[in-house]
Amino acid sequence: MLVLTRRLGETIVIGDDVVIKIVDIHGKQIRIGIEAPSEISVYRGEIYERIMLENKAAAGAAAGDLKSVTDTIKKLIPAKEGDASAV
Amino acid sequence: MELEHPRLGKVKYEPSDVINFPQGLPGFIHLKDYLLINNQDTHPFVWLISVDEPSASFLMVNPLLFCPDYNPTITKRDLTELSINTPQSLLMYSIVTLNASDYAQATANLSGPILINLEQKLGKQLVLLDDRYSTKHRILTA
Repeated sequence: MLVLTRRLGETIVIGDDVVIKIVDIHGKQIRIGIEAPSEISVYRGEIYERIMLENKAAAGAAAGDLKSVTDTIKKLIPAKEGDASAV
Repeated sequence: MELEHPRLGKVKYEPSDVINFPQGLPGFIHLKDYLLINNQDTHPFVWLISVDEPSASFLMVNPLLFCPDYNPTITKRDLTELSINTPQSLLMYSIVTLNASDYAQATANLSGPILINLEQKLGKQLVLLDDRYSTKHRILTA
């Protein structure tokens, strides 16, 4: 991993069109500004990780036999029946 | 066309039914093409199944059914990616994680909503930048 030291207001440029700027430093928190073209996604690492794990758990849980999945859903539905047409 | 789904059996579809997720889903970035299946048996839950790997299936539900105030931030970049101008014409779902032994524990991922532009057959899972919503929101409140 490339490690650089930056001061407040300084930037890092990645490739031709990604600019990362140190906007504010406050104790252990650093605010970072990111300019990037729209085809490049910017995520918070820990949230991306959480969603990745949850997607895998969801795909695994839905892989039970269809009847038990459907039965499980059916038990969930009655409470919400009045709203069902909203989907 | 037809695919063999491990749970749903044979699923017939037209090439025009395929919804493209250009970036895939986190954890499944190699799978870009999905079918949205609205099955009477599971209504209001719908299936999102990968065309290339049908065992990669996700149950989804409209989060507004159990979380009426749900209001994730959808950015201009998201809309551009979905090739749409206003979020109103998008379908929004949350992926559901079932707990087969205790259905009351079923959760929905409100931190990573699925948005679908049905007209353009484009989809995207957002990775919300804020912490307002959990990946494990209980569908049934105790």
